[in-house]
Amino acid sequence: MAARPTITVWSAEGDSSGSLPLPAVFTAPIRLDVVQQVHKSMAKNRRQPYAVAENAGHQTSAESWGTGRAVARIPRVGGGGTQRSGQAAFGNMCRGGRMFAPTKTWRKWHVKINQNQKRYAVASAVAASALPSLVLARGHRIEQVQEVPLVVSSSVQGINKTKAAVELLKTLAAYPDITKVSNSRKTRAGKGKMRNRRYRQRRGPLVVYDKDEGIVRAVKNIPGVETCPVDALNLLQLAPGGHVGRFVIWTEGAVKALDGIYENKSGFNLPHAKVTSSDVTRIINSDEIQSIVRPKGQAVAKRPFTQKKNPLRNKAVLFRLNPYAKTLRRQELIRQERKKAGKGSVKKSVPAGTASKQFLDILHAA
Amino acid sequence: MSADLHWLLLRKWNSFQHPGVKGGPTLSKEHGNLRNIHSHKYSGLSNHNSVSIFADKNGAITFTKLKKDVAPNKVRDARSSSTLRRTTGSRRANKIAAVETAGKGYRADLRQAAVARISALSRANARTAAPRKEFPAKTRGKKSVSGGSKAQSGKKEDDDVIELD
Repeated sequence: MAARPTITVWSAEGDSSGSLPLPAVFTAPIRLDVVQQVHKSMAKNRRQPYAVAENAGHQTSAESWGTGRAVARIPRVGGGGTQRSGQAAFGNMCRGGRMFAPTKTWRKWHVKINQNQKRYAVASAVAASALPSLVLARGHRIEQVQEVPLVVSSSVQGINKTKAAVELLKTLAAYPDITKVSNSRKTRAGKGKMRNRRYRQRRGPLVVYDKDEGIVRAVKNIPGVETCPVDALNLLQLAPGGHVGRFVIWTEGAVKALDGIYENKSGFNLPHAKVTSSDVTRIINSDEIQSIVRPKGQAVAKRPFTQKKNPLRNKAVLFRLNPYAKTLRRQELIRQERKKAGKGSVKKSVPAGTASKQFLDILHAA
Repeated sequence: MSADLHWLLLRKWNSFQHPGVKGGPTLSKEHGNLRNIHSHKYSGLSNHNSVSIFADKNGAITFTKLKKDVAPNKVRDARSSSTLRRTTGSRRANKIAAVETAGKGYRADLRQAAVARISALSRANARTAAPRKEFPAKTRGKKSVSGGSKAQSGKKEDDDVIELD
């Protein structure tokens, strides 16, 4: 596939208003494994610590009865008069006891991620967002969109009314994606409903801007739309669920800034594909290869499945397997010819199955 | 990016894939997948040349192809589609499917699937345009004469009927 040298910039009215050179990050290799691993770790970093109560299972004065009472030596609740007295306590195997290895709030909740790995993952996700089939495969409704990556002139950053933002999305033909989000809204299963996560819905387009002049607040209330400044691209937004191919709407300024941003990341070079052309068919059919390969030989007519030949019947196969068989056969023929002509020494042969007279006499005498 | 690499990115997970029956093939519901099977050959997403054949609510069959030599970042203009006339019969529709896939050197390997799909769609159309006629169940013998008034009639009335006959 040819390189994508330029991308079109679309005006807020929906017609092309210029073009930009394609930033290098859009051609980074797409590594699903890197994206998934980084996403998995990043998703863990927003967890809220939880633990069982510090004293859970220990609010009793149980003590072991020691040996000699024909019961296990587990601590037992003292006293009498209630069901509880005499019951085992504390142990993780006990009813009302503490759990095994009680959870602590100081568990290691965060996962360290290598910074360059994180940058690699973001670059991969950005590159994936520029391939229509991957964006479609994530489930975004972009069939009517002109181009991916979708770049809009920077004037849209000044939109500060939701109504105008909706109008913009409609002119860009990005609105079917919003409709999909609206229709997907369902009540969440489980306790999350009472924890300010009442509904769950799909993700819509991500708007990436370089300067917020009102666009963030304008699109905030459109279902599924998220925003992100170009200098703080976030993998959780670019690849929700670890699945690359988010539908991203870039502003012109944001795309222009991309190259500079990646140049300024110290100690990080944009990854590039190990092979320039990954299209094996194209390589095979290229002039360079085709000019040096040998011409096609004559077609060998072969049965589709090699048919087995019986070497006992088929002489050619027999001689191939056993070259001496040929000599044997030839000698036999010569012998027979000689016998016919009545010359040479031909061994007298006793007809098989006939015993000699002497033998039969002895046999029958008894 | 090559179709093979695309397929590797889509193979493990994409939003169109569907598990199907247990032990059976994974299915796929994207446009452009002629057999709705999750495979490299039939994938409507990873291949640069793919054909999608579908009918709208009224049964109009649309034939969509990915254009050749179009910039890879184009989405809307990358497809060309044509809708068959409603008068197109199934044999002509089959011919169109064969010509568009194999005849023009587009995707010869999809000919069978394309013909199968388009003929299934036109068969469905024929059925909706001319639904099967419903005939009332025939009654024979005594019932046809008595007019089904057997429930009320006793034995005597049956005799009367025979006399009438």
